Amino acid sequence: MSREAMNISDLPPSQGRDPDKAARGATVPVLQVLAFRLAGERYALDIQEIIEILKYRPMTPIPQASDLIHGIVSVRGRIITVVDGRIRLGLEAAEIGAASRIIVLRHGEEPVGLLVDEVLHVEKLPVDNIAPPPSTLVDAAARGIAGVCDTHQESILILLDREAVLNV
Amino acid sequence: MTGPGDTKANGGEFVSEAEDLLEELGRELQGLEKERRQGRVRPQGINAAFRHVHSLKGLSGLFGHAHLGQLAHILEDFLDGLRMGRHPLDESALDVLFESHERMESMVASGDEAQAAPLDLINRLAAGEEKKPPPDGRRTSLPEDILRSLTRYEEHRLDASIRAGHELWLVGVTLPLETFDEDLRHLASELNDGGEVISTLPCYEAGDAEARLSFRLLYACGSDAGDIKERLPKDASLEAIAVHEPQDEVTWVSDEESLAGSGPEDDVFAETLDRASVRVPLERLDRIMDVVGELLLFRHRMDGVSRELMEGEETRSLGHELHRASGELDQKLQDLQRSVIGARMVPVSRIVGRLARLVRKLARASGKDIMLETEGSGTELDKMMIDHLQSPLIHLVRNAIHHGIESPLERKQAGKAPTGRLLLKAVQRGNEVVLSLSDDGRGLDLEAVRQTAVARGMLEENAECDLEVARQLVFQPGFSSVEQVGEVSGRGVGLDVVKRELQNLGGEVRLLSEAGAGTTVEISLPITLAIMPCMVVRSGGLDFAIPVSGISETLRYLQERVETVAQRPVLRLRGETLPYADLRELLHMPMVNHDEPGFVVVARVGAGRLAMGVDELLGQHEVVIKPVGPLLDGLPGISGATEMGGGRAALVLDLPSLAAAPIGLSGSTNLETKASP
Repeated sequence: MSREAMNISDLPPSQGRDPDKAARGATVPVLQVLAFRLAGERYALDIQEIIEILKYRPMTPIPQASDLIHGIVSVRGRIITVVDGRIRLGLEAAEIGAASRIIVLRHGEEPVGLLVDEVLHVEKLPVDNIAPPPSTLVDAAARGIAGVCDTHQESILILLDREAVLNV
Repeated sequence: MTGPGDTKANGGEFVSEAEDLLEELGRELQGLEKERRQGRVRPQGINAAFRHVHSLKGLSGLFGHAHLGQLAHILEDFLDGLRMGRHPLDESALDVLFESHERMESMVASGDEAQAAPLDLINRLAAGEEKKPPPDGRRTSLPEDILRSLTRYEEHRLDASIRAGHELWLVGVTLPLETFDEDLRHLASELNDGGEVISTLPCYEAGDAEARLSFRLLYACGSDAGDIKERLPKDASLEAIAVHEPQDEVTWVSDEESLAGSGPEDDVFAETLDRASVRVPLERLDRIMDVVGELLLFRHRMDGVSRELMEGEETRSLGHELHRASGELDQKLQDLQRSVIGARMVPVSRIVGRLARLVRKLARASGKDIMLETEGSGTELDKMMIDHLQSPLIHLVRNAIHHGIESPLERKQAGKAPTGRLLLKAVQRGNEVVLSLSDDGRGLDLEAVRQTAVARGMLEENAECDLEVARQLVFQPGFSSVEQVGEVSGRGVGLDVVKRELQNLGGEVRLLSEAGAGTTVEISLPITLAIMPCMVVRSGGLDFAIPVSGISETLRYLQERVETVAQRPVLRLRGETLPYADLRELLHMPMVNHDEPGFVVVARVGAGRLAMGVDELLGQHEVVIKPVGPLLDGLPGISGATEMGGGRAALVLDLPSLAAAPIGLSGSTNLETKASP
């Protein structure tokens, strides 16, 4: 199973949020996030919310559950409910691909998985650069979008709020 | 090494140990109250209470809980007073004992410092101590040497036995040196059955060539010499002791009949040694359980490999060997599983103490006289189940006291005994435990139920309300016939909450009632939720596990067995007509091809049955049931999930909520219902 699971610690290291440094004003406070792709857009979640990343595996669909629930899967004896990231964010549905991953997130006592198209990389965002979601996106909060950040890369990074995303 | 972490851990140790002691103390107090009502207080109840308080005092001292220690100290003296007969076990003594117990519980729960010194209780306990000791014992024909060697406690027991009018005997036995302690214990337990061995005294007879020891037992007993002789070894002697003064009229607690035995003073603390057990956090057992579950999956895989090997020409013998090994492994794994489950089990009596104290309190508050009795409280359930049972049971007890049991006056007028009776009964049936709480009160008030239901808009104005309808109504959300929220009953929650809580535990509730004779709430629960024998079925390409305890039978699907009644499919089975639905319909799964199902699973739901069509039966498995997590909680028909190997998960079906599914069936009223008992 370890072949299929990536540990967060395996990803490029960084310091993450550091309140001490921020207080001293020595460096700009940063938020360490995991970037991933959903329907061509780039999204991100605070790395501290993430337990592990799994390769896609066949899942058991749940009869009568909402469309948001992709299914359940057993990981080392724990049953993980997987939320379909695309459907949750109101994006068009897609087939599972070779790059599809499940990001396992902390959520109360039972971890919850988020199905994404592709996991990109770990990134450090200067907290000052994070802007509120565009005002035209009226349902940003309902979708779980916490903010946006222009990282001067291919596209804007959309920051998700784990709690809100999983509040389905 | 000590650190802040250690202090915290020790705090937890203190709390859990103190809680255990208080729980045992509570049980003893309850026993004392019951015995007092029956007019025979056994000395070992007081001894045990004394022992628990003594341990609690030591524990408080060890952890520096001064207030608790202070209360325990004075309580110990008080109990010693009861034990030695210096003070009667009357209503006021019981009150102060129960109050002290409650205070100590809150001291343990909230931390010692948070509470003021319990001066009020200390004063009352100390006042009890000042009561006069009972008059001195009567004279007997006991030899001086025996009288001299009695301990203070034994003297007191002798006194009490004389006052209770028991005959006194001196039993002489001679026992082999090698086995005398075993023989003595055996003899004492034999004698204690019908009386009390007050003291066991060795006597030293010179010139005993054989390696034998002689003893004299001072024995108090109601039966005659012939009966006693039957219990004694052939060569034993029996001598009656004359008592010169008549029985006293004053009833001091310890003077009450005490037929069962009591050990000598030194034995007061002996039982403490029996507690050869360790405390293990439940999560650790859960982890072991998970590992066992995973091992079982590996074994399934081994089985698969061995089967493949057996098919090959060259590998056949190797396959057979692996198959045998796998079978043996399976046996051991099942042993292991049983042991782990066993370690999680605690007796139902663990909640009885709390309930009994609640009954006492509520009965007093409502001016009723109520006794809680238990049957089968040694029946065991998973610790997790016991913990979750507490709140529903408290609710049911409140209900019984508030609605069921009448006031003493009403009871008299109805020709009943003034003391109301609540009976908590536990019986194990296979993998299930059936708990029932019965009262001998007025039964379900159909008219009151009807009026409430009409007022709540749950019933038409002129609708009839028979027992069957009432039983359905009281479990509906929003039905609560308590008008005001009082201490005695009702916190604004009704039986629907109780039902839901119990269903979350995989249990079912039934209400039986007989006008004027009482109400019984019957709860059936699986012994453990951690592991359950399940029938695995396939339906619409998905695997589902159905708890075997909920299955009454399985059969092949035959088209001609299924008919419709008012457009609803039913299954004819040996002259009975059962509601029938395909599992895919019940779960609202797409019916891609309308193939006939291969099999029918007949499930027991409440008092009724439900027939479900499934594609395949995949066999019975011991299944480790996992929660599905908050995102799927409350999904009808599903109570959890389990791993089927290779990361695949199967859903565990929840039969009660499945049967209430709106398709094919409209509510449980559609279920075949047997006549209420």
